[in-house]
Amino acid sequence: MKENNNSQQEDQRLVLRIRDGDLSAFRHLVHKYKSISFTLACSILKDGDTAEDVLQDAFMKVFDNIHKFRADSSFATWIYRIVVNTCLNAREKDKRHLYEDLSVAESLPAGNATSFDAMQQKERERYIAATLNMMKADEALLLRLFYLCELSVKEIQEVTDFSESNIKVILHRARKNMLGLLTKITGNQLNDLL
Amino acid sequence: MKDEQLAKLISESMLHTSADFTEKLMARAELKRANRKRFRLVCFTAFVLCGLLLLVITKAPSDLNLLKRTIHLPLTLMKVVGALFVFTIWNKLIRINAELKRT
Repeated sequence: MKENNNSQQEDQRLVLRIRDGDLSAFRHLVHKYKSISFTLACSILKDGDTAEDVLQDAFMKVFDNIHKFRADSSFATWIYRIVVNTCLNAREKDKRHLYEDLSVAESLPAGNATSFDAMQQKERERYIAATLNMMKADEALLLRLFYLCELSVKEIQEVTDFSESNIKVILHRARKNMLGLLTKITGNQLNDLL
Repeated sequence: MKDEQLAKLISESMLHTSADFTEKLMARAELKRANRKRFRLVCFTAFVLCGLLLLVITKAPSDLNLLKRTIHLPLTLMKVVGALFVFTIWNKLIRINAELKRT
């Protein structure tokens, strides 16, 4: 979801309308960013219900602080930063993340020799989402920020406060880990996944 | 492995919120906006009332002629009570504002 110029201009218009008190503009904004924000939240929190609750708080922070957004920066980056920070704070309060949750892998059907390509779309999505859910929060988050949100390394720095070198190292590690995990849980060879 | 291939895999990891997510959020936003409006109205009313009260206290004569009787007004006591009243209202408004920010 590369944010192009049209999208940025649309965001600027929506921000101005929200500042004027137009709630329908806020609804439009939520609709535009909720799926990807929810995906990022799940990368950190690993639980859908918790991620939804925290995401509600994050969007309320966006609503309260919309007057602080500077028009010269990317709105998508700004909103992702709020979502990531809110999730990280929530994660700090709830120490359950310290314990490894293996239930995700156990809930999936055992991998067989069926090619990944031959799987139904929904089944592929489940395996991929489960794989990312099993990965470390920073690895899953950076993979999604880089490939799903299509942010540059510099933009990822703004969202996460990680250094450039740290981001590159984590991304490199995350790519390897993701493929390794996906291979393991689907029972497929590496080539079959691509 | 090529970046495009990995990007394609990860794009399939997009998750979706529950169906009522937006409605719940909009209900919260509307409530917050309504509370903010009410709070501004309360603030304005309180400001006007406190201003009038202070005006009355500072300009009130020490002796008031009412119905052919002279009433002696304890100005110092009135000023103290008036100031306490204004600070209580002010404190209440600060607490309400803090509560609004938390929701």
